[in-house]
Amino acid sequence: MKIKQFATAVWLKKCSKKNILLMKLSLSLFLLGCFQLVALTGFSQNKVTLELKNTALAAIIQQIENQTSYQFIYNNDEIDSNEKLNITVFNEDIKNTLNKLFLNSGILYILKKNHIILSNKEEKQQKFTLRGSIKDAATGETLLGANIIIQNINKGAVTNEYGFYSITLTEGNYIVHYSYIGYASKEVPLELKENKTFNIELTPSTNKLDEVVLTSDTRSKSQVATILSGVITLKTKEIKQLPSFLGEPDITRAILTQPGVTSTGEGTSGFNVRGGNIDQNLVLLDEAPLYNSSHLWGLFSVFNADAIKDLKLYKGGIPARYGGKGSSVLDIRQKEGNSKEFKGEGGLGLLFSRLTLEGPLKKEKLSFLMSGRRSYFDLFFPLGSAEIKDNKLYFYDLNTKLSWDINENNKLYASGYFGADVMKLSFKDEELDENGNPPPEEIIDFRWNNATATVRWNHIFSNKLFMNVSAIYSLYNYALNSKNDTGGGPVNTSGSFNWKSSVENWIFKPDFTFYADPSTKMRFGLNATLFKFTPAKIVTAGEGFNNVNFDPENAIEAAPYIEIEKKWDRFSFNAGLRYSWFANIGEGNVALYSADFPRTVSTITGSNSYKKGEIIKSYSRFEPRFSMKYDLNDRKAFKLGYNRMFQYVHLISNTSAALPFDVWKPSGTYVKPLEVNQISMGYAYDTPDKAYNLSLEAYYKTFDNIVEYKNGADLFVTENIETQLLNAKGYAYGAEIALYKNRGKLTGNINYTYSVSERKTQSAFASENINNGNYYPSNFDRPHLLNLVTNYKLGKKWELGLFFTYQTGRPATKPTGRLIFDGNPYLTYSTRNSYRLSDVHRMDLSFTYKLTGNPDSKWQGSWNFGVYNIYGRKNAFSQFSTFENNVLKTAQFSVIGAPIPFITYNFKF
Amino acid sequence: MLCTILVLNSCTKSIPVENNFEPQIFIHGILVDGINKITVKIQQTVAVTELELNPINDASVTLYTKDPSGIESILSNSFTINNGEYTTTETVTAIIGHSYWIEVVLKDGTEFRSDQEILKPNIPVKKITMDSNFTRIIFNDPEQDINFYLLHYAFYENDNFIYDTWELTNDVLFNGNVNAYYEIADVGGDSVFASIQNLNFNTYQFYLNSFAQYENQIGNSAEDTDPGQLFLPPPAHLHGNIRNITKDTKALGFFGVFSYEFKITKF
Repeated sequence: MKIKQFATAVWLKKCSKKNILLMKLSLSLFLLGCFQLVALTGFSQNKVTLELKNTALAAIIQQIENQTSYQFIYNNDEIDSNEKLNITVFNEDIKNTLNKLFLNSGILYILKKNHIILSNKEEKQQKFTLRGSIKDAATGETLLGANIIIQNINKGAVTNEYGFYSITLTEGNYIVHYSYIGYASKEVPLELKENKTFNIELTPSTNKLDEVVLTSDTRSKSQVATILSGVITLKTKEIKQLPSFLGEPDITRAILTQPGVTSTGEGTSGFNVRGGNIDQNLVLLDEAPLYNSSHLWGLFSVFNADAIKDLKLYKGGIPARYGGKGSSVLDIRQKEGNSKEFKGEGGLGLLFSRLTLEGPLKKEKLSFLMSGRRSYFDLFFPLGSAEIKDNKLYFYDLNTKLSWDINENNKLYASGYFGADVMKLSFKDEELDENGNPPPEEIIDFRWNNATATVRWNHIFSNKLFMNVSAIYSLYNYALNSKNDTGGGPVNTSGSFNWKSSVENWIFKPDFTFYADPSTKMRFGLNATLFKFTPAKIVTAGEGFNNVNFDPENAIEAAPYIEIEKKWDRFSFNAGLRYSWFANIGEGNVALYSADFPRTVSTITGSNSYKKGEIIKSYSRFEPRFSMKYDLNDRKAFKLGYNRMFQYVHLISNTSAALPFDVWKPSGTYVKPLEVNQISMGYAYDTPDKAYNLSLEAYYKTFDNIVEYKNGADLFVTENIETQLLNAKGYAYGAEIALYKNRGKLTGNINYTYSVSERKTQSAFASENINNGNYYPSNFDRPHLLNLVTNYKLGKKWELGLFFTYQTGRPATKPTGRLIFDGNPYLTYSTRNSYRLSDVHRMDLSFTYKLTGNPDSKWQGSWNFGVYNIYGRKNAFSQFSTFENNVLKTAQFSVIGAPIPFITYNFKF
Repeated sequence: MLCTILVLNSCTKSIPVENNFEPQIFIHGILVDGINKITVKIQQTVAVTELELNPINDASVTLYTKDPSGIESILSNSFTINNGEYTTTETVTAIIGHSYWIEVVLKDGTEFRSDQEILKPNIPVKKITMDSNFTRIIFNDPEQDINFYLLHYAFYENDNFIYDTWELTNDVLFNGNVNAYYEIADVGGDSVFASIQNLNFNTYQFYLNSFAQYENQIGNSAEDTDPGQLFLPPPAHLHGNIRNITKDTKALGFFGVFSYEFKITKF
């Protein structure tokens, strides 16, 4: 006999306490009567054979009742008959069957004659929390995003970006399954009678486990478990397997192999995500923002792959804890340093070398990491002609980190990055002038650098409350010194000058994670940033020139946020709200303009002066974020998301490729915050054996208050830069499909993106709008993008990597007509970006050969060699026309128009 | 070495290009201080493949002025027309501090108008200096105003012209400096003619666009330093202070209103 609907909630609400008491008494008498009745009947069959997985309790009960003489009694308000359980028994007696069935389930049973009475264990049992961290057994590095699954009850957790996890369960015995991509999984029995801490170490899958590796999910790119759509995770190992330009593993180039990510051209600085400008990417290195992420004008990224643990690119669902940029977040984490033994690795290339050293200062307590990289092509200059022997052209990076495991509840990290590009060019004519005097030496010294410092404190308040507090400093500056008449300065001058510009950030970021229950996680905190922008400071030595010191712009941003992540059986969501307040603060002067005319220096009517700390202009905005996922089963999931992002700092650049000395400008009186709204949806699918992962995503984005540039804008040392800017709106939409193969000798992915990105200027004065106020494609609009990334294991020693890309050519503006002015011919142009350059495609190939040396030696060496742009495709970066002798000549320029071979020796010890 | 590799491997190749030409009107003229006849030139642009120009001879042109008290008047609407050049039949007196503009109406009724531009004060050339390296124009830059200058150097040897150049600058680096200067590399000669034109912003913007185009595409000098124009902004239309009133869009050209000073120095 079953009591399936004993009472309804509405009905209960109407009952008085007295009535409820009477009902309980009646129920007890009724049950007692039932027991007496069934006691008269005898056993018939008590053995059970079942093999059911992920099956509703009601269905399992039905089968047990069919196979035995037992009948179940339970209260539907107390027991969820839809709860999914697993049971595998063969000819088992009823007691063992029930023990197996309800292990870890939170359900208690009582056998009374041939009745089985079910009750909720949780009402009688206490809850306890299991917490801890998961680390690499070999290095002691924390593993971010590792899985903790409580077997049989389908509950679990994931380590956060600090390697911490927490899960609260009812008292009982469990099997806890720990797993991480590329590592051997671990199962640990847990007897949970009190709060417990399990700090787990997982062992990396090695070559010795080749057979295992080939059949495990070491490269899984499954998007089924992730609630957020449009999230890409890359590990250093994957980046190093890509064929690289000049043998240097490059993070920006690795990101450009992903769907939805484009650039204006080969070798340019930055990348464009889903129709966003390069300044719309929040690039974080150990939580510190970087304002220029490239060396050598864009040819290489500033990230030394040896110092990086992993990176995550958020292009769709962006959690509320991130903000300040409009289109994406690239969150890069540095390694913490091996806490167990001293290790080193590095690479020797033709043009660069790198070396990383890491190890414990106190074993498993205090560890360090130092990683350096330098290019040395300039070392060959002294061998060259007198013209170049004094020149310098190089870049270098230094990554450092100190990790202190103070105790179980406290960890402290201090990390820093310093990278610089140096270009010192000396021009000295060897011939004496007509008077026999040596000609004046001309020197240009141009350098730019990034510096970041992060101090992070992880503290565990309780089993459920985790805190990370970060204090961050970030600096980007550049300097140009000239001692000649052709120094590249704004005007020709024989006087020397020294030009400096910089962006500085001071950030304070407390962040809390509260693990309410196994299915609910809350995250809340504050991002507080103080900005200082120094647009230009020029000191000249010549008489007749003034020193230029444009007012530094100061700004402050405070952004509290809260995220809630909740998971049910099939449905889960991550909802967040960020409130950002941004203020441009004095001291400073703000020009006033006539409202009747376009904003130019001629229409300035006056200016307002602001004292130090006085608010010039402030903005406050709510930024809702929402992502949801519905699991069709454990291999298929449907996702939907909405994001609103505001961006308060803007890169002022209108060249094809961004320049190191482009100016950053905060929002203020005339430059409004960029608003980006994105709706995205996705479908994730894994094949039954999980050997293939498929991801389908689509998005629609709108952009408001994009910074655009007037026709012929002059951005070079311009004080009232707002006179050169226009306000624009835009939209982008696209669909991305990616198929990953992560098992077998051949692994990799193929992805295709169809996208559109357009914008239009919105000046109140129609005459200054670009293209008469009509939409035009953005500079990086590439409707078709196809990437193929493969890695083939040729044997135990050899690996082959292949990359192929095909992209639509980027938009361009071309000359269409001509006129005569002052006796010279001049050109007229098409509307902005109304033509396209030819399509782009390229294939890169690399081989890795692992040396087998002394097996007892720690030294492991490998050669990496190959060819970049193997068939020498001359991809057009730009197209330009000249008009001479009444003939228009049009040519296209390729940055790398020939095959470039490379070879690098990599080592570890 | 990297540069060498890139130089060796980057490349430039000529390609055919399709053309989609739409004719536009280009208007330009200049009014300087003093008593002068004013000329306005009007032409229709032609496709780059065409060698013949297309002057407009059937437009009507009117020159307006406004005094500092705000009273507007027609300065001239009587022009002689020759091959697209419209020249006032009488001389016109341009006064510092007054504003000037033109209105052009094509035969089809399309109306163009230049912005009202004020005639800014003269900036005298204080001195011209020359040494073995540089020729320098020294002048007094007003502090209270943002100034834009068009400078002209002409070099002579025994009264024979040898070289001239036009330079453009704003006063960001020398605003208010009583000995502001601009210099160019010396080209020789025994006398130098130097002039300073004190421009309005929109005229400066036109010259900025035209100078950039000349340097990058007509003179082709940019090919040496930036072969692919990697670091150049999108090409700028030759817009100045002329608007197509009928369509409410910017039009090609400018009507420059500026003061003019010059000096000749023999060395």
